[in-house]
Amino acid sequence: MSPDTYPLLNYALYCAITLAVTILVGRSLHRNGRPFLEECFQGHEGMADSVNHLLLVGFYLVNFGLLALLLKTETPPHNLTELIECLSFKTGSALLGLGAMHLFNLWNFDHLRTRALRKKAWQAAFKPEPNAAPSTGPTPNNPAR
Amino acid sequence: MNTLTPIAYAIYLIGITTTALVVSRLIIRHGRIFITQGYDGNTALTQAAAGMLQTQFNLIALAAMLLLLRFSKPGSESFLFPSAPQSVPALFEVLSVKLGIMLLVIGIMHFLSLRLINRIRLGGEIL
Repeated sequence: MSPDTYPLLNYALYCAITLAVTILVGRSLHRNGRPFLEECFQGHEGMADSVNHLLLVGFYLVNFGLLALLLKTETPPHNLTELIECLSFKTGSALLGLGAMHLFNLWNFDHLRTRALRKKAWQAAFKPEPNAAPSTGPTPNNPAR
Repeated sequence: MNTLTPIAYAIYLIGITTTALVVSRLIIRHGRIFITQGYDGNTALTQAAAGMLQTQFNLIALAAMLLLLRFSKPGSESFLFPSAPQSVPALFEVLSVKLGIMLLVIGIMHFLSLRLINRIRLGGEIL
């Protein structure tokens, strides 16, 4: 067995595992973020789709950059035990970064949705429909004095 | 080469991965009714939120599992990282510590998820 076998196996497995997990998580976010964005843009499907796509591309860019930076190992493994230890440490760090990015996206979706709900509530309070009963509260055109 | 160490790693990885995946599925299955309440019965939003919660749980649990995997070199043992087992009884002792730590982590994350689901049920900004 050549001395480079374990270091090469280390890098190959690292790339395979982390790339697969990143793509799976990205696809899951893309699928599950859709309803939140639809609610945020109040039914504008095109806008929801394009924002969703932009978020996905950003997610992939940041994560692939992180994975590339984490690749190098200071002490290359020489046997199976060291390979498992080295690989698990690198993969664990990568998953932690991935988890942080996923959490950031969740916060984004939640924030967008609650902001849209607040905007809707504001519009309902201050801009009544033309045929609705006139509101007694203050309006932008007729502020309470 | 010590063959017990890879065996210990294999048991640890398989056991904890299974537990983490089962627990996250359980939380989502039984928490869905509360999430639906928070989103006023919107099934698409409920499905999406449940899926994202499950992904997040799995990511953090598996990352913790991988980071806490290794055994220490002889002479630098600690509670989190005991030295590699040299005999079968030592394998059991070491595995019980490793599995116990990870089960505690998963248990704490389980209760944090329950709190998060309760926040979703109460409505408003969640994170």
